[in-house]
Amino acid sequence: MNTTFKKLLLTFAAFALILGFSACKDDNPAPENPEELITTLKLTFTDSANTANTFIVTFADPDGPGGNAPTTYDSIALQTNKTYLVSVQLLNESVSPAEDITLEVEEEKDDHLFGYTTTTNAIITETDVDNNNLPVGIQTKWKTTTASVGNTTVVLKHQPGIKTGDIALGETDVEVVFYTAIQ
Amino acid sequence: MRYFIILLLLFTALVVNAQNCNIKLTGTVTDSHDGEKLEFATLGILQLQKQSFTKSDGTFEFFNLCPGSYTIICRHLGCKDTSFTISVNENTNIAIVMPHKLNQLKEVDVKGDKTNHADAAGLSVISVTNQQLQPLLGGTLGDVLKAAPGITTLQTGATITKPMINGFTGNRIVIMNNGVRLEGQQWGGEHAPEIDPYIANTISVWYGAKAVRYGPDAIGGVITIDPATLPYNGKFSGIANVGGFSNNRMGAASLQLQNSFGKGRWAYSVQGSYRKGANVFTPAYGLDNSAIREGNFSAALGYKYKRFKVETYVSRFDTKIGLFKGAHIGNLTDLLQAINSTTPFYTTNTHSYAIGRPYQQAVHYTGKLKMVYDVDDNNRLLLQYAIQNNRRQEFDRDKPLNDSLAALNKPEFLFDLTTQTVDAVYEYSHKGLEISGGLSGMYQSNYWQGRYFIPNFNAQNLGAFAIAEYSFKKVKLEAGVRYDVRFLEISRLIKGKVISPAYRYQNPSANIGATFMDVVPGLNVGLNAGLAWRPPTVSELYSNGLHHGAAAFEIGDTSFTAEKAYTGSAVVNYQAEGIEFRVMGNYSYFDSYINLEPVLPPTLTIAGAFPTFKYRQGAASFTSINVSLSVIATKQLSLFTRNALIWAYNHTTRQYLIGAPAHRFLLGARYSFGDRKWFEKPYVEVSASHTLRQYLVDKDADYSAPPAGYTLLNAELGFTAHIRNSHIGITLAASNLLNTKYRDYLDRFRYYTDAMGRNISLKINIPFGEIK
Repeated sequence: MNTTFKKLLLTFAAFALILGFSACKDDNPAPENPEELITTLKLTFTDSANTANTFIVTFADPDGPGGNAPTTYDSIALQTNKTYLVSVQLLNESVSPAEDITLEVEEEKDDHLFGYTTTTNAIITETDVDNNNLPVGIQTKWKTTTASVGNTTVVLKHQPGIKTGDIALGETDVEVVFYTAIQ
Repeated sequence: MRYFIILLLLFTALVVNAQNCNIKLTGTVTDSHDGEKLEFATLGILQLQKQSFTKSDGTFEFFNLCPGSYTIICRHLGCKDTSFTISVNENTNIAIVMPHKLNQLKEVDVKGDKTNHADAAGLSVISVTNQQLQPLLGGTLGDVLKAAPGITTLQTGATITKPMINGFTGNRIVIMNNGVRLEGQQWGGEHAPEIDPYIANTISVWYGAKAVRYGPDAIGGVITIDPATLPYNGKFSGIANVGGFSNNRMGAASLQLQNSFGKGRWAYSVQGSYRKGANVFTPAYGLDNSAIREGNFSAALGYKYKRFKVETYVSRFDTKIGLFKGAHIGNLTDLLQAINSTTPFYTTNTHSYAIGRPYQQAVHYTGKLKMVYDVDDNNRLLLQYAIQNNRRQEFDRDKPLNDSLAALNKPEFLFDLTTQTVDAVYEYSHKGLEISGGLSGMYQSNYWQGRYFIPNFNAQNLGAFAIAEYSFKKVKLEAGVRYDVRFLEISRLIKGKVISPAYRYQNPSANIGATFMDVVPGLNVGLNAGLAWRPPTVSELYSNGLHHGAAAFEIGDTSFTAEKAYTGSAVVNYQAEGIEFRVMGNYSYFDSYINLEPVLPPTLTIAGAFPTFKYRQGAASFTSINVSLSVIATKQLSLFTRNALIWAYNHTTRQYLIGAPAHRFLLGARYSFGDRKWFEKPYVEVSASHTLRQYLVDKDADYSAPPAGYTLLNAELGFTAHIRNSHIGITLAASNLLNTKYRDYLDRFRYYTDAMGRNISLKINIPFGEIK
């Protein structure tokens, strides 16, 4: 072995040492909860004939998607032949204080749409509009007729640049199905 | 399908017909040093890209030559390459004496001059070299690799492709990029390998004993991508490539320059490439936000003095890929809606190069230092250190609702993986015996930001291997063994607490093979059996989250043990007058295969229900058969067919595995014209490929049933323009010539959109300076 080779071997050994030393542990992992999370959906019902009659229906999954199952999953119970004014609220309750996501939807209302479909005898209409005069659905009016049971689906769609009022478009941010009884 | 049948008829008709050129060229190869007859010498005819090997008595044969002048290249381990020109007008016998020399290119000791070339050693390597690569360059690495039999691609649209060997992909295959084992985020189906295809001079796929050199994980095989060797003692030369593609209006260019200096002891090579494509178009509509941008750079510097060689290499790969907006969905309802609509949302008719959300960006750096010391003619020592950094960022379609978060424009996923490797290999060769052995060490660390999907981790791998090959008379035996230990340490922060579970996996790998040459004249048979394993990946152990691109909840399992496979393969290769036939069968049995399977019930979230997939471990088997045949019908016309069949079965659920390629068939014809002055080697090639519907899998086991089978017609026209002293290669090609509307089972975008329509490309390859 001549000296050139020894030099090369030394260089190589130096690289191998760098490898050994740089093998330091990364002990600072990031926390595993998303920065933006919607944990809770609340529907606040107000009887239009008697504004003192209000009640709240809630879906809550405080640890977010996966993990533990949702902790609160209410049903909707309505009376026949009534008109309810309903407002929807989205919250992130994984942080303290809870964050109101509805405000951000309101801010981007031109790109968002809440949609409501029900299999019961109720007619649900949006009462608010965005800057293009298209519905937003944060505020709605629910008109019930005869007794019936079924499901009501609340959907929030993100429709950047494609909003026409059609709830089929866009990507689903929220979709909750509530058991509903009109009696 | 109609075209397929027409071609088949044409094929049969022509086989029966004409056999015009039937001159036989035979010869003997001997060693100048001791006059010994050389076995396993590689003979190639440059103009015809034909190849042959010498038998144990040093003889070789070429059939079906037309009268003409040919350049013969002869290669043998431990000898200097020899080439000469010979004029052949009748059956000819020649004697070749090989000058003995120090092994120069021993790391890459098999270099084919031909696609479908079966290595003499166990018929276990398939190489695609520079000249075959040339018409393929400009596309993704996956597109280039598809030229080799048995390779398919797992795709996410037209721009993200992952190679698949006999149904294995991701962490079950190893990709060696210029001698460095590529370490990226291979676990993701939409994570393409971070390699510039323009760098490739030779691409080889290895099976069998030699594959154990490259580590565990190589259950499906090893793909090696090698640039041209540095030109010591050479003069200034270079290659420029330009390409244009009609479908997505993509332009691609690359430039490579090389030279030697300092009395020929130093040599360098610098290379760069750039690709930019606009929106991809299916036959009926364009896909909004499907543009791509990629810029790559590499440089190599080497010093060689007597028996020493030191080489350094650095490269940077940088790609930004727009993801079709219509394939980004919220939940199961959205997915079903996308499947049920014939035209997706977010189609476009503009050829925009803009890349908006959603998109992914990957930057990969590689640095390498390699030293080679040739102790004497028979012994060589090789040391290598390499460092890689892979940074992958994925941006969802929508920014966060919160303004302050949105303003940061941060990726929803960020993975940063740094890997260092050290390898030491000793090689010995003498006459029919070749032995190599070595050690390898790897240290890797990963961190993430954004939304949790896989945790931070550190991994270390230590391995040792030995490979021996021995040839005598008409038999070649090979054996390889390897032992690896892998340490894995996880680091997670859960509710303010750091938890660090640690794992250790250790197992042997082994492989034995035998090749029998000339069982009957022209017939070679190779047999191989092996034991392979793979440690579970961090994603298989720990993934727990929502995969937005796939609208799926994926859940790992920390109790997984290493995946073990028992493999067997057989190759039969027959070469005779006017015909070349090859069939390869592979069987792998896993007692602990890790598979992502759908489970019930779906995960209920505030955003609706999500289909849920769990990684599960159980018994599985993969059986594949690759059959290729080429027939030289006349001196101008050759016909070829390549067919791949595969069955992947889950023995635990007693069902075929989801995600395995469907059976595919290819039939083609190539017509070569004679040279006309500056217009050299012109040819036209037409091929039809037919892919069956993946009928094996349970059609209800997936969100939508596997798409229908389809036939694509491709055409290619090429020639070399001999202008002054340069030979400029020009290829005009059309893929999906008939603009057929189809969806492929291995395309993750098949739920949302048709595949790419007709794509016409023009590629120009300009070598300049003195080419070695």
